[in-house]
Amino acid sequence: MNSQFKKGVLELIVLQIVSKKDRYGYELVEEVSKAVEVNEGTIYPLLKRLTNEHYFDAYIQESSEGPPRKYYHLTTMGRQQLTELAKEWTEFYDSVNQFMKGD
Amino acid sequence: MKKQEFLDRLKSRISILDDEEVEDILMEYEAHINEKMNSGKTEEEAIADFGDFNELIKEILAAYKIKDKGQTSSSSTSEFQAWIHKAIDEITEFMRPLIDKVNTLEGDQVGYFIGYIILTLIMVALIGIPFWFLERIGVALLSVIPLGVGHVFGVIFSVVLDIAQLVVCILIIIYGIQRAIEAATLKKPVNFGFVVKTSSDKPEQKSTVEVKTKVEPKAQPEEKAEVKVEVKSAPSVEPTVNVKVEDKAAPKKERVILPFIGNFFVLLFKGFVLVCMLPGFMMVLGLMIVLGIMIALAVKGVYFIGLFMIVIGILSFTSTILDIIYRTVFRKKVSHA
Repeated sequence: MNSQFKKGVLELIVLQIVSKKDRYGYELVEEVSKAVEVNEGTIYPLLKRLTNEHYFDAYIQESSEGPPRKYYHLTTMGRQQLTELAKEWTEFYDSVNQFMKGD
Repeated sequence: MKKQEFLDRLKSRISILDDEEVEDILMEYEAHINEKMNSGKTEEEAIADFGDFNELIKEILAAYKIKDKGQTSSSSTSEFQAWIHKAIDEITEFMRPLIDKVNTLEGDQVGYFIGYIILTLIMVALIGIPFWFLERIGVALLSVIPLGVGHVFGVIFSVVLDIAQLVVCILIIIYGIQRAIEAATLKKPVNFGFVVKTSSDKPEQKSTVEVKTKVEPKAQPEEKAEVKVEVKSAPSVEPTVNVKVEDKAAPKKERVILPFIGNFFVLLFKGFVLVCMLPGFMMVLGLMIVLGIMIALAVKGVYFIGLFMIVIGILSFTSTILDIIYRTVFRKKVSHA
């Protein structure tokens, strides 16, 4: 799939996944891979950016297996962003579909 | 690529970011690789899943809105320059603790720091006096021994004394710098007139951090939050000072002057460094002219290979030193924005 496509949608997908429940990095990457085929390394910079933009809160939690993990939690602001993006996506998707059917 | 190698390379390429951020990123990637390995993949496979290394660096830096300089410069400039850059990075990496210390110093702390440095230099100068006496006396006594043997012993004696003096001086300097850094970080007063403890200036940095954490959950981009907080904290500091000033007339001067002295020293220090760097720049300039002349001569068929090498060597050495000094004193770390 076109990587420019993916970049835009990736944020939406990541926000959506974290909105269900708090996730740690690796788990999140796995979840994303289920939805779209993506380069694993690029998820972390995205998480970083979303945290810096206060869409995510990050916290450390001990894990039963191995070292403590860094969990991401969706903030109110993140939730707003998710709604916004989802709306944009639907509109975009609809109009493109409409256009493709059009001729 | 092995895990450690990957993490090391990653670290060196994102070193432009805050130390805290770097640590955080490294932790995430290490955790990811570990999880992958737990699920049955090898180190190499886990890292290969990250795709192209340079692409990854670009992505990470882009998350901080930074363009990857290392990538463009290594492709557009010569290997030699890339090597120099790498060497500078290595050296600054090595000196990182010291650089960080210098960077985190505040106005009055610099006062303590400079106080200790001056004290150290005075000690080094003073320590020369007993050594000088000892040398004179020793040589005079040894010269009593006949047949020139005394003279030879005298020379050996003074050389030994010189080395001893050098060692003592180095020890004093090391100790002095340690104490200076310690004093600067702990705000311990030194026995100088200007270093009476002050509480008025510069809680700014602390309060910025405190308030920032409070602001964080709110709906504000970090950059804006920080600016606001700084403005806020400035007036919040002033009233407390004013109240104290009204209470006592005598300490007023100290409270007002001390931060001023501190900041003055910061400025003085930076100015001093600039002035010191000036001859360096001149040297680089001169060497470049010499290099130009040599290249012109080489074109005409006159070669000075040895001299050529020496000039290039000194040139790169000088510019490296200048760069390090500049980075150390004027370095502004890039924080996420």
